[in-house]
Amino acid sequence: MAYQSNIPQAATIKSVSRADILENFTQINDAFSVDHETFDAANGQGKHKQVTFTTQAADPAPGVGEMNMYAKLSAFTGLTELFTIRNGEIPIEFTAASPGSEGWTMTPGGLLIKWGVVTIMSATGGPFNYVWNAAPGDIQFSTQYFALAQVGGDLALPNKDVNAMAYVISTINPAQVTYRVWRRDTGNTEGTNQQPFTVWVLAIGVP
Amino acid sequence: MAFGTDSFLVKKGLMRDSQPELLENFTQIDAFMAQDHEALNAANQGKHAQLTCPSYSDIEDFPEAGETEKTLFCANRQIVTPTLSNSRSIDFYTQDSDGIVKEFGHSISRARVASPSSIYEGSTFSSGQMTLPSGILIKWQFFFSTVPSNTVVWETENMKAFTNQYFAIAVQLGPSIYPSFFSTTFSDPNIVHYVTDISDPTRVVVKSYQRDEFTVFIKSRQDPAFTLIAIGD
Repeated sequence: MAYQSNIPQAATIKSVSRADILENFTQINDAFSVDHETFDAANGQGKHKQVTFTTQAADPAPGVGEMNMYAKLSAFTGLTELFTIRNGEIPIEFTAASPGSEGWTMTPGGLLIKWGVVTIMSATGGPFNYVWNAAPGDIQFSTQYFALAQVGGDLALPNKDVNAMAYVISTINPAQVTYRVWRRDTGNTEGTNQQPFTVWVLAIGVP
Repeated sequence: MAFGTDSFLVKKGLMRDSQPELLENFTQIDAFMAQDHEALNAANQGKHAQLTCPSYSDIEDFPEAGETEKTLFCANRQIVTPTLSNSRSIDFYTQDSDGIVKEFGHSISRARVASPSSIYEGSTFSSGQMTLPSGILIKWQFFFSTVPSNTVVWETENMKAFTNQYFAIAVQLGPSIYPSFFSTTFSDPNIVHYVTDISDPTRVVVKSYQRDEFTVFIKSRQDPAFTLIAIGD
């Protein structure tokens, strides 16, 4: 049997209506027992134990002054992720991430944080480009972003080459970070035979 | 009387006068559950298709969380932080039993024209912030080092301010600087920058100097651009 929203009817005999009503209350009780504190709960009737989102095929359309949270299949992770959406705005996917040494994460505010690592072998010069991963599932910046490139020292770096740095010179191309390298040895001349050093790149922008 | 599947109506028989009310109630329950929930009789009945939150317009109406509870709701940002205003006025918030309200997540990424010269690569520079569900606030901002000691005041227009001393800050040279400044022909683009004071949550004090070989130049080169990222609450 199933829940019936159109019972009892006036012409229905009582024995039938009793069974229908009983079934409706049973179904209501079953439905409310999912995610919600149960009826008759001493503390919390009507409250939620959790919210289980079923995966939606399309984005909902909240009314004016409302906001939705829902689940949908992510085009990037291939998994069901949580989204929010405001009236008349694009959805924000906020649980998607690609953890790893080169990865990204979305934030509830709608911004994208990407990070990566590059080992620099070159001597002074440039510009060089660190190109963000563009494999399927890697979300990309849509516009110019804010970036931070942090130099990391390698233990193997010889004393001769203590002065190695990388600096960002352009973030205009959203697909890459453009940087230059500067090295100097103790003779205060540009080094040409130094050990590699590592740069971690962190960027914040709009997907 | 408690809710149950063996209501008195079933035991004692249906009264004629109750029939319309019962019918209406069941109709209302069906309509009620259809909002945000998977439909009754669906295999996953009771679960949520989405969560729709109307925004609270008065902070006094915010749902209180009991002990060991946490609430999730929507509110107008200007109600929570009156100094803020922007088009995205509604956000999710959480509140715990101590009454601590946290913005679930909001971001501002603002492009601002700050190019004093056409030789800058790029015409716009951004500043911004993001709040995380944990309550952590991340802010970033560009600045141009025109003197050896720079006091960078965090932008405040429609942005939240750090309430306490921030926890960590990173300063990075670039991006969007004079291309010629960092050309390979420049003898020593060795610009040292270091944060000297983070005690004031509204500002950062950054000192920098430019060095050509072992000679320190004070404002002898073109102004470099820096970016700041700070994490606080």
